[in-house]
Amino acid sequence: MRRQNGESSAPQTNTAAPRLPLWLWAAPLAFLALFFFYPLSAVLRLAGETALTAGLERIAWPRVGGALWFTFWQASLSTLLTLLVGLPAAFVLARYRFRGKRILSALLAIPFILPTVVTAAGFNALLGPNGWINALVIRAFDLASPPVVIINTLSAILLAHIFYNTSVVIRVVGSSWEQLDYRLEQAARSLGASGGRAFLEVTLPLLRPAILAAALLVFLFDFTSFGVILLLGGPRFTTLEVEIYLQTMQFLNLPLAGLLSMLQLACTLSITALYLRLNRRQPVSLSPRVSLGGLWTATTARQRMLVGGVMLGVGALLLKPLTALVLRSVLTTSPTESFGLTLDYYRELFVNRRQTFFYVPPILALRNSLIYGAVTVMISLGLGLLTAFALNRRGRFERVMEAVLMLPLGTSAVTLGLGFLVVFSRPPVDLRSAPWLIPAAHSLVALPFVVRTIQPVLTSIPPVLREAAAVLGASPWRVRREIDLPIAARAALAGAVFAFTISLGEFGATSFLARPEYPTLPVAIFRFLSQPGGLNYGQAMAMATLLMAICGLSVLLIENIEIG
Amino acid sequence: MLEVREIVKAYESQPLLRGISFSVSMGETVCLLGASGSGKSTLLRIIAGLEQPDDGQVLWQGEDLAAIPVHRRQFGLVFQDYALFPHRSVAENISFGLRMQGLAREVIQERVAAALEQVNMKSFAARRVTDLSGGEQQRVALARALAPRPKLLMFDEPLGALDKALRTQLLDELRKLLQNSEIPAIYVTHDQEEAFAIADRLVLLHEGCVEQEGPPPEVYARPTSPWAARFLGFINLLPGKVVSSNPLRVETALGCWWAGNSTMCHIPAEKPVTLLLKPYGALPVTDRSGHNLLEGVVQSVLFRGEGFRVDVLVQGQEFQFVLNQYFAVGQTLVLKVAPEAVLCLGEGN
Repeated sequence: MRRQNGESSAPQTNTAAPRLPLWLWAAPLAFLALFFFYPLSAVLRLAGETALTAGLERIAWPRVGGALWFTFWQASLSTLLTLLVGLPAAFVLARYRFRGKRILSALLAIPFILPTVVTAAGFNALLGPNGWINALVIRAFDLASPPVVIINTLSAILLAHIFYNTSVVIRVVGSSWEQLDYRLEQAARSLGASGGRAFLEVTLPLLRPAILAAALLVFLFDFTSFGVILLLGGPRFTTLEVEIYLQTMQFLNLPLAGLLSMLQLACTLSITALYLRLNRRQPVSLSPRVSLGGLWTATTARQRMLVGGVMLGVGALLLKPLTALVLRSVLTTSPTESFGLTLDYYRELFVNRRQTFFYVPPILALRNSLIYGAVTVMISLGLGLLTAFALNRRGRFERVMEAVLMLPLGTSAVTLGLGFLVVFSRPPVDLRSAPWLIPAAHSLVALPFVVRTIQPVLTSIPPVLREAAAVLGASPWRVRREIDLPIAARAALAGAVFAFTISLGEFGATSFLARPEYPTLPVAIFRFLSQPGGLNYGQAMAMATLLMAICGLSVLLIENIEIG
Repeated sequence: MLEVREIVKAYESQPLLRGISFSVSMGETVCLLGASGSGKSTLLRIIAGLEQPDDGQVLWQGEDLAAIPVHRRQFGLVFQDYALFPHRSVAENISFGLRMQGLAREVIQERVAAALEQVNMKSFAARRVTDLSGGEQQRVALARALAPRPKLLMFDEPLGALDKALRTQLLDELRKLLQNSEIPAIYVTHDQEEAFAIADRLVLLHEGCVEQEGPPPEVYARPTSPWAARFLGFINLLPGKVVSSNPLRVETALGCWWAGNSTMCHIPAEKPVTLLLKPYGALPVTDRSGHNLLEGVVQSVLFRGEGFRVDVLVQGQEFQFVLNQYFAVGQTLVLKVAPEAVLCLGEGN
């Protein structure tokens, strides 16, 4: 025992850095009240009024039921398929040492930050009617119509969901698997269990919490998936999210949208609560670590095939859509001509064409996105720091707030967007003169991530560092400035990059709030993709490539920041 | 200079310190010695101002420090795990206290260089503290505490995390450094060797009280209680009852004993006491009559350079003596302990 019994006692008695004042909560709480609880309660009221005044029988129940059913169905199917792909990959990455592992691990970070719109564009570039595979097959066999029809089918949705969430399974299960002592399985083998038996009786039960947590998280992501389904599923498939969007933007049926939102919220909050309960004892590290101890090298042919298969499979899954996207953005592919290099699509982004549906040169979307991103970083970082410091007061109030802060995380962006629309598009605030609504919504989405990046670092600062500073003459205020802030700064930087990429890629809420002449990159890509014509398609590819490049740079930045 | 008066502190209603008093004077190194959990680190934290006592006072040159917060006390503290700031370099760690004093940049540079020199770490100024070895970190922690020229230096088990060889070396350097400076120091440890090496005066803590106090040779020569004797490594303790007080005779289960020394002033007859038989005071004899005799079987013999350490089992109790003669294990041995080597301690437990 190196510490004596009294020393590790309550931090509140610490005179080096006394408890921070309660008013630290003022700004974060005001922000949440105005931009989360107020819009959400408005949607709730809308839904309630619909049910009461219009009467339950006038609601289009089949539509609601259909959306609900399809949401559950596609989410379950996606989750199952993702686990089928992700678990073997998690095993290989956790247990084997092989060439290219670092690169593969780095690639796995991509889906975490890649906007859904870019992913959709990527799959479109690969498998769409104007995509690579179809273009090649048409040219080769001189066909009249694209032979591969995947876009606008359930397969496209599932494929994109697997693309997105395989990383989640690998990270959550893989990190658990890595920490699992491989000698346990060896012990089982030495006691007479076959390899399969040892896996079933030892490894699987120990991994079960991680697998369950991963499955729930994946299910939640699939359940709230919006951009992927809107862009890849086409008009035939509507989940709750898409139905909310359609009811609001196309049918202007706000009451029904409100009702759907509440249904959605009830579902996501239940899943989130279940996930948090499960995950309480399982912190997930954000950066994958390649551990060197206890790793195997594939020696037998079977092992080589397994490792190679996972490498190629996961690598292809992650890279194919993205490379297809980049290539598609610089190549012309008309059936009559040969493939040719071109920068026309990029050039066109700077041109304001009358006949297009933009009133401004499309490249301005980039400027808008960057501005919104910067503002989002400022808001969410400022509030995130305040919240992280306030949470470290560790009182009863903080325990409540910890749960409250998870609410925005469990609320879909589409519901938020609807709430903003309902609340702020009326006088005195006119949506059209309130461009700050978009960064406000983005900040709300980013805030939980920022807090979760900074707060653990603050908690992990040993109290003795603050005491050492105090003994050396630092006042309590000075201790915060000299110890807490600099140590939290690196985490804050990572949080800022997180917030920035979230803002850049945010599509759900933005699709409700963006004014036609102030599109963001994802909104512009969506509009390009919804329009016919090779030029529009090419510009969508060019713009998605731009967005991907910016997000990629951000990932590189995060990976190079040491947290803590 | 520093005076600690009747300090009381409880944790979760468990008393940890129950009225501790001692003082430290100019240039003196006082060592608080006690088992883990004896509250010595807490006492240090109270003196530093990191914690408030439930009762009692900490005085500096007669002035009560209760109202002075930790950062204004100008005491230096070397923490158990050093508590170096991981986000700062070696030089930045050392300059921290100087910056807090608002000193000029040139002065800070000068003093940092001097402090690094003092701990033989001159070439390490720009290094990250996370890259340092344990011993190097300890030196930086010492330099960081020394640089602001504290009025009092405190050490909380500073060598606890280091291996034995390094501990001996650093202890040596630390002793020289403290001897050469006029700064009074309090050194907390549970290791008596460390305490003997560094202390001008020992304060033995036991169950939240000062058990014994004095210069190391005196404390070692005359532990005042069975607990102190045991804590200092003595195992030959024998409970008994006083027969006569002058000359001092004690009746025990192992016969009658003449004691040449006592740590008590008045010893009434019939008082239960404990005898401490010093390991160096025994001689093998053949004559089995008289007093101060032990007869037992040799359990183990260990050559120790200065003699043979012989463990003897006497009526179920183990005794340990250093003899200048070899005995075989299993041999029966009669020992006579000189009255000067028999110390009569207070009540036994």
